[in-house]
Amino acid sequence: MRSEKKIIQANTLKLRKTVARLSSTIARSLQKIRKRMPLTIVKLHKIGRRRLVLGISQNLIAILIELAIIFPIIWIFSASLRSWGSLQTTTLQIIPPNPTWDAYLQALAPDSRFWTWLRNSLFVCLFTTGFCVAIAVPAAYAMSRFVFLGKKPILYALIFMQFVPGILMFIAFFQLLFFLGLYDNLFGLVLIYTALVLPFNIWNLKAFFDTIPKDIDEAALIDGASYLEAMISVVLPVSAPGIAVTAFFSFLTGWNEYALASIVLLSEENITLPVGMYGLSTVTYRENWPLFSALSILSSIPLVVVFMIIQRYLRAGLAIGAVKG
Amino acid sequence: MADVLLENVTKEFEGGVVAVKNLYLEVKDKEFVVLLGPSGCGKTTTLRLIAGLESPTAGSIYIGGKLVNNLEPWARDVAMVFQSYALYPHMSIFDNIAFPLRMHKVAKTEIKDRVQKTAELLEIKELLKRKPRQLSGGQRQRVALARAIVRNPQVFLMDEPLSNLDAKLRVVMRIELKKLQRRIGVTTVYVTHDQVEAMTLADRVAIQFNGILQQYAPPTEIFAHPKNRFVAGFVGTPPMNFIEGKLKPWGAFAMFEAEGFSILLDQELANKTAENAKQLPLDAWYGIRPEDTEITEKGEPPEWIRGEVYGVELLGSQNIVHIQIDKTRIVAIASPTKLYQMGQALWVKLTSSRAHLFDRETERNLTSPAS
Repeated sequence: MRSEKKIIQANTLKLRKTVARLSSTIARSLQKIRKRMPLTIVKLHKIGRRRLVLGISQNLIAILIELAIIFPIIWIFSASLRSWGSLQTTTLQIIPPNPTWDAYLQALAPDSRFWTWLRNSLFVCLFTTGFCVAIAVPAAYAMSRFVFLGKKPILYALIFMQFVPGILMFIAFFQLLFFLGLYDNLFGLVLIYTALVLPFNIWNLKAFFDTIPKDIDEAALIDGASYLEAMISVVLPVSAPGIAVTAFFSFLTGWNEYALASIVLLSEENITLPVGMYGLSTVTYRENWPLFSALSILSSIPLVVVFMIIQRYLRAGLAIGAVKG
Repeated sequence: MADVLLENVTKEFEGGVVAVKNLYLEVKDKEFVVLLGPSGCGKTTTLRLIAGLESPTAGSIYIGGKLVNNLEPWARDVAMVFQSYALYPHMSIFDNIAFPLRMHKVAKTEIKDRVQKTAELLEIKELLKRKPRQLSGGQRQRVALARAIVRNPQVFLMDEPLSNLDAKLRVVMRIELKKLQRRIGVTTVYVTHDQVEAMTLADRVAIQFNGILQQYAPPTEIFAHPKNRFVAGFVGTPPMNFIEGKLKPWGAFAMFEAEGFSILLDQELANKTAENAKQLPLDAWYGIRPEDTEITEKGEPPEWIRGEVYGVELLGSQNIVHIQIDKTRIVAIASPTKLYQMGQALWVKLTSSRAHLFDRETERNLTSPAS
């Protein structure tokens, strides 16, 4: 155990040294470029020289920061390419010696449990997202557009509900699910995730709807739309970004959630990704870090895919040009 | 038959704000009625009551003879043009104009036909494929109009549609709107705070203040025979002069005694007032429009009153002269060729048959028949 600790400490130190060396080299080369730049820029175009230099150095700083942030992911990826046990090394190598796809092959094997976990997580998260959006959108629309009895108490309740730490509610959730017979049932998990995420989603979406002028609703009403038609044809298309955020947030929460899932789910075929991977790391393949790293990378791919899909809606349509100015 | 009737309508909001008090207003079929008044007088609320976006606290609203109190906006067959145009930003112009027709389940071919015709009428045919954010203010306004017209509704409702246009465009669109309304022949209720718009567009003007209808009459009548002090001061540019004082008899004549000077009452005016001004002396306001005053450099009392030039505004087509008479300031209109100096002595004639007298207490116009 102690040797392991020393190895980790040594590696951290080496890491720091490498990063320091890296940044100083970059800084030096930056200076060199700066000195040489005026000549090149003068040759290109005289106007905006200072701005160009400033822009480039700002970009380089940004790239540096991004590298620092991405580094853990790069490290995990490199770890996933290693052979079993090869992480116990005293040298720090980003590109591992004898890189191999073994870990991935193991993870993606047809009989690997990864597929079960993936299927379960997808099930839970997609249904959570579906329910959340289906409930939050009409709720937020009503909160934003209408005045009704109990509106303020409900809004305040939604805020206060978020102050309660999730863990405190687990006992209640557990008992509830047990009572409903939904213990060890993926659908039960869906229900609870939806309940956990809804308050934030409704509030967020309501604030977003508030930024859309009510004139559009009223114009639609006068044009012959019912309240439902007005909401669907007019407000929703314009509020695509808000709904996209709601959907993504719901999906994300469910995907990474470990604590509740580990309590609720029991049987092997119901386990979701986070639970499965945790079990992997402590119970069976205790030291198979490459496999664990490979699984980490693989389980982040669906998130990236979902985000790429949603990103399109984030950019599409903000309510410009509908009203004056 | 698309007449609009508001029968003793009151609208009270949360917090005790009474936007509309016991309003009785009838709009005849094909009439262009303008709701005029300062901000917060209840005109937009009245419009929204007709549209169905608000429901009245008391009273009844009839459109085309039908009671619509409990009808939602989509069932009322009215079309509205908003101050902010409220175009649907994610739809093309064609879809914007077609939206009401689609909502009413009109056939596709007919939709296309009607949208094209309406776009031609408003000269926006080339814009049909664009999105609202690509259009200028004037173009957006015409799209909003097209969207209202394409349905052939019973009533047009317009909420200050010209207020976002530049001055020149406003003048052009005013005339276009009027001609359009005549051509289509739809009952129109138009809200504005601009009295010039009201005077040029309206068949009848309904002036509101603090939720109460002040006067409901054709523009010329509102201008010539305002019912009370508020109406008199609201309509007309430059606004009417009001002089505080007492109405007193003076031998066979009548005199208006202000602070520091007196105005001889025109005989016609005195006759008209006689009925309402029974108890003399009477505290009153003497109202005279700048264009009804006369100024000269050499005058004689009692018709002419001496004053000093306080300020001059050169407008090109006319000069506005501010004259200080003792503690009162009068605004008069002079021909553009006459240039007066600051502090110059001038004689003003305020005696005119077109002047008005307003009771200081009730603010009612004493020259109008008691009603």
